Parts: sequence; C-alpha cells; structure tokens
Amino acid sequence: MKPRYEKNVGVIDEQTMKILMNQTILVAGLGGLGGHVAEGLVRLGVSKILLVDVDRYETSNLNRQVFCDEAAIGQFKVDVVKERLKQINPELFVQGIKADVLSLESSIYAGVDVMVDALDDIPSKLQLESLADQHQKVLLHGAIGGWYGQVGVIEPGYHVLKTIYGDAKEGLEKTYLNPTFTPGIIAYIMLAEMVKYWMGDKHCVLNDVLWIDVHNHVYERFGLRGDNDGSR
Amino acid sequence: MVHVKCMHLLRSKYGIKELDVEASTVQDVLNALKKIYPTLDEQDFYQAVLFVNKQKISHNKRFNTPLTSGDEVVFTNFVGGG
Repeated sequence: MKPRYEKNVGVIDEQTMKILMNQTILVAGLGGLGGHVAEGLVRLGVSKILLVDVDRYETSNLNRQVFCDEAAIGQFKVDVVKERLKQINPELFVQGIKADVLSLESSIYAGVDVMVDALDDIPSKLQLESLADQHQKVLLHGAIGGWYGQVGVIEPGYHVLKTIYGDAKEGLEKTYLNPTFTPGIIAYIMLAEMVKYWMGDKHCVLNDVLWIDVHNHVYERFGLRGDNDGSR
Repeated sequence: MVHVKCMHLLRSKYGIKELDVEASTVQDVLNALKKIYPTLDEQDFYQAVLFVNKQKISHNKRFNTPLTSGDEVVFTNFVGGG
C-alpha cells in the first residue's frame, strides 16, 4: 500500500484498493457535490477521472464549491479542478471535458465504470440515469437542497431516480438553495456508499435512496427494495 | 392503523416524525394530523411528495387513495441540486 493511502487501510482492504485503483469514473457536474466527490475519489486512490462541466466559476460558488477561490472566478471549472486534482496526485489520469454531459460521444460513456450524478437539476439527473442504464454503468447519485440530501448507488435496470422523481422538474433546492455545509456532507456520504459498493458491503445503499436531513438529524434509507438489504 | 412518516421540510416545520393514525384514505391521514397539529397548513402536504407503501402517488386525486390497516404513508420532498 502506498503511504498516501495507508490511513484508509483500516476500512479499505487491498482487494478493494485494487478495484478502485482500476476504476474510470465520470464526474458529471462540478458544482458543490462534484468538486468534493472528485477530490475524494483522488484521495481514495481512483486513478482515472473524467470531469464534465460547461460552466465557469462565479462569485456565488465561493460559499460551497471546494475548488472555487477568488483566482478561479471566470475560469472553466474543469480546468481548475483538473489542475487541483493533479496537485493532490500528479500520477492521476484526469481529463476535463467542457461539454454537456448528456450529449457526449457514446464511446466516452462506454469507457467508464461509474458515472457520478452531481448534476444540479432533476430533468438532467433523470437523463443521466437513462444514459447509465443504456450503457450498463453504475450511477452514483447525489442531490442536495437546503438542509437536505439524497444518496444512492444505482445499478442498470433499477431506475431509482425515475421511481422517486417521476415527472418532477424541481425540488427544495429551488427555494432553499445550497448552503455551505450540505454539499460536503452529502458528497462524502456518496463516496462512502461507493466504497461499500466496491467492497460488496451489504450496508451499501444499493438501488435505493438514503434521505439525509441535516436539520433534524435524520439519516434513513427509503427501502425501495423492501428488505433494506444492500447486498448484491 | 396507518403508519405515517414526515420527512425533510415537514419534519423541520412541524416536528412530525412518525405516528400511527386511523385512516381509510390519505385525506383522512391529513385530517388526523390536523387534529393533532392544529397549526398545520394543509398546502404544505398537498405540495409534498406522497408515497404509499413505497409507491409514489402523483395523480391529482392522490389524497383519495384508499388505505388499509398496516399501510405506510410517507410525505417528503425531493432535492435535485448539485
């Protein structure tokens, strides 16, 4: 185990480390969730990351987006995040794609193992779930709004987002926006669930959704599969 | 008895977590909650997302959905930000 990962060894065994080091992960959206998730993936040891976002940093991102600072304002997010991730691990293979994640060439989706849903609106999240399904990829879902968040690991064929969102267009995020603390909390719970998935841990929120309420201290699986068992 | 759960905003606003009520429709659930929590604004529940036994109920007459003893009703809200 490389020294940079040795503090993970208590939880992440050698076999899981091998799995995650060989993953290619597409991070869709580099807002509040996506920046934290990308950083965490590198610190976990993932060695190939595709960052997809069309936006540039703006002043209103400073409250929560981990790679946004004064110098980054006006720069493309993918450029800034790519540079910062390389500072964490110079050996990282990281590609920045300034495009709509829903309209990439099929070969890009086909070449990844996991798609991370860090997108910021429900219709796009639903389309990403369809794309992941079409390409038989695992989707790591995260969503935030105000004090609240959702997380789940979704395998092809389960359509969890379609089930819970239906034809909804927006949620609480339109009213309660995104405070400083919620994105980081939800992003790191997403990473924990991804690690559990790679470990084959039965506690993974698999093909289900975890409701997280930072205001009332609620952390509860919805139980779409009935048995609340995350085993595969 | 029907098991009722309130999540997210409704829990924050009214402090309702989960409880059992006598009800034969979703509207009965709301009426029962209104008796227990007189300040409850029904609009908050009409605007919430409704699940009955883990199935999302989204049609216009969802509050007429029949219930039987042992059913679970969840009122919650989505988040879709990133």
